[in-house]
Amino acid sequence: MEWYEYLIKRVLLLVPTLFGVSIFVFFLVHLVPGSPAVAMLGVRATEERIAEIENDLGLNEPLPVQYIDWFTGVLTGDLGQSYSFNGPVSSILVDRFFVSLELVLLTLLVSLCVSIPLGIAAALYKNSPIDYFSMSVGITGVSVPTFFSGVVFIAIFAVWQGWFPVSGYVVPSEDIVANLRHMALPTLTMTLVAVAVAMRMMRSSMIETLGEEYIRFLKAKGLRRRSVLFGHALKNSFIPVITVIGLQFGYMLSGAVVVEQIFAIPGLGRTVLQAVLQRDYPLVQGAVLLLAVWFSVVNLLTDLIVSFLNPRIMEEET
Amino acid sequence: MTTQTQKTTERNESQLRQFAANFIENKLAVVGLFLIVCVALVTVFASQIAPYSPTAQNYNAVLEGPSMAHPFGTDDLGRDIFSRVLFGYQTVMTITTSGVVVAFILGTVTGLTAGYRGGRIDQLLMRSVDVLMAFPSLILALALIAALGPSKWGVALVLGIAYTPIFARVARSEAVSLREEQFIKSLEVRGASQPRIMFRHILPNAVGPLIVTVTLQFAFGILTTATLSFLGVGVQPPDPSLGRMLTDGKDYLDTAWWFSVFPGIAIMIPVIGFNTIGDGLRDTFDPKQVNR
Repeated sequence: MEWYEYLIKRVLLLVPTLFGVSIFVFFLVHLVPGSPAVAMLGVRATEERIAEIENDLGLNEPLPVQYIDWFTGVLTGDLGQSYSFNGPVSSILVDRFFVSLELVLLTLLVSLCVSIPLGIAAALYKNSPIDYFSMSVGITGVSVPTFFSGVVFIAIFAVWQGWFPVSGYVVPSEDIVANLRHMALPTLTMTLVAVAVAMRMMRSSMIETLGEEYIRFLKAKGLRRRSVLFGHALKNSFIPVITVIGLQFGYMLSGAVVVEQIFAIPGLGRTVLQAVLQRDYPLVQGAVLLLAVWFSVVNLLTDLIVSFLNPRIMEEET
Repeated sequence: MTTQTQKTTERNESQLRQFAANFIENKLAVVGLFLIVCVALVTVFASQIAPYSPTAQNYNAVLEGPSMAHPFGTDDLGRDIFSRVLFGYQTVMTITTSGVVVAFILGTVTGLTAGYRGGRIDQLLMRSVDVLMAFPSLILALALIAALGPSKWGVALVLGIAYTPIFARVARSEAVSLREEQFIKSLEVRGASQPRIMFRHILPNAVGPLIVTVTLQFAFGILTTATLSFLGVGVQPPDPSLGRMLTDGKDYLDTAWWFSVFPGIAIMIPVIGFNTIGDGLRDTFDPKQVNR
């Protein structure tokens, strides 16, 4: 199978998934016990206001018509009106998307810079202090709740030492330094989890590669240790790490909800939470849809990169 | 049939012994098991161990530090944090256990059916699983809570739905590889019913990977339950919840660290336990992996 055929196949597979996602997101509103309009407005709402909202949401139409209306809107970028933010959902989401994107990219960058060297070192010096250190970082990272580490970091680095602001957000185009200072602790909090998983994968993958026949052959051939490591072993050990990072991305988006909430960063995660708390259904739908599409596209890209690096995977999957 | 069953039990026994020996070798996993046993005991006997009622307020002892009377100190309403942690364990463990049981049942039935039947049914079931997998798990949980409203059993149901795909994938891949095995083929020839083959013969052989999944999902489930409570969309007061205690305690971190630090550590203990057990079991079931 050629790579482009695989690419087309994977993209086509995404279509039914995203179609299912859209149906799920659409039906969310219909899972609400009673009328969503009453849930949004509270029991003290007037009859007229309820009728108005129900009309706005198109709840009086038959379901298939409602779905088609909603889905046409999604395709044309019209996700309805947000009640709690008083504006079109799509423009709210666009602003917040870039805030979350910055957080996620910073986390990705920092966690790769830490986890790859640490993972390699742990693999090379198995059962040494550095290996034990990496193992304890690994276990702590996946076991500490994000909200706990976030709160502890605020206490230590913001309240006690005063190195970073406690919370808030500055637009990077306004003041990039202030922006990064505000992003430092949120990134650190998210990185702790991301490092744990990527580093353990790097370590086990490196150990496995180093045990392979061809690496032993290269060593036996008299190739320098450094060129065996960095020329051959590293490249092959990267592949499972990339897969893991792709999967990690979902956890990062989940983690962003918590981190953005603690540090009062106006990103997508915080928006979802606020929308849920406010029962702002059009905004919940829009944000959840956007996050699912984002996650799916990243997963697709990860699979494509991995299959590009290791063409055998394409054969295994068909 | 009898020889088949006998062989299976014999094999299972020696495997079990070998398995236990391998597992005990993994010291980290044994520590994890110890942590889980401790948490399980204090959860079950919370009302016997707790020195105070989790909701009893004492305005003469507000935000007191750890002491003999209050080992973990007291909170802003003078409630004993140690007692609240114990009852918080009851809440989080009840929710997580229910969620994982629901996910195990739904996921295993889906996965075994998809893997064993194959064809159209497989396609249909696994495409639905893909749809659920397209959502980051906390986002899926939030979306469902938006619709169902926040409550204790709501969170359990949401965990059940959110973790179904993982069990379905594991069960399916086991069923697919076992489907072609000789002993399944011969059962089919003898006219065993499909559910019988799936649940009496394929499921027992798929149990290893499923147990690993159960332990790891327990770790995730505890974290997610606590996270949802922390965010205010999970367990609602007056039910004591570890996540909620951190929400309340985080504003007092510089004056009353015990208010949030003890509940925070309390959440970590079972999560570390389940994670290390999960890793240990995975290494034991699949010795080819070099995860140690």
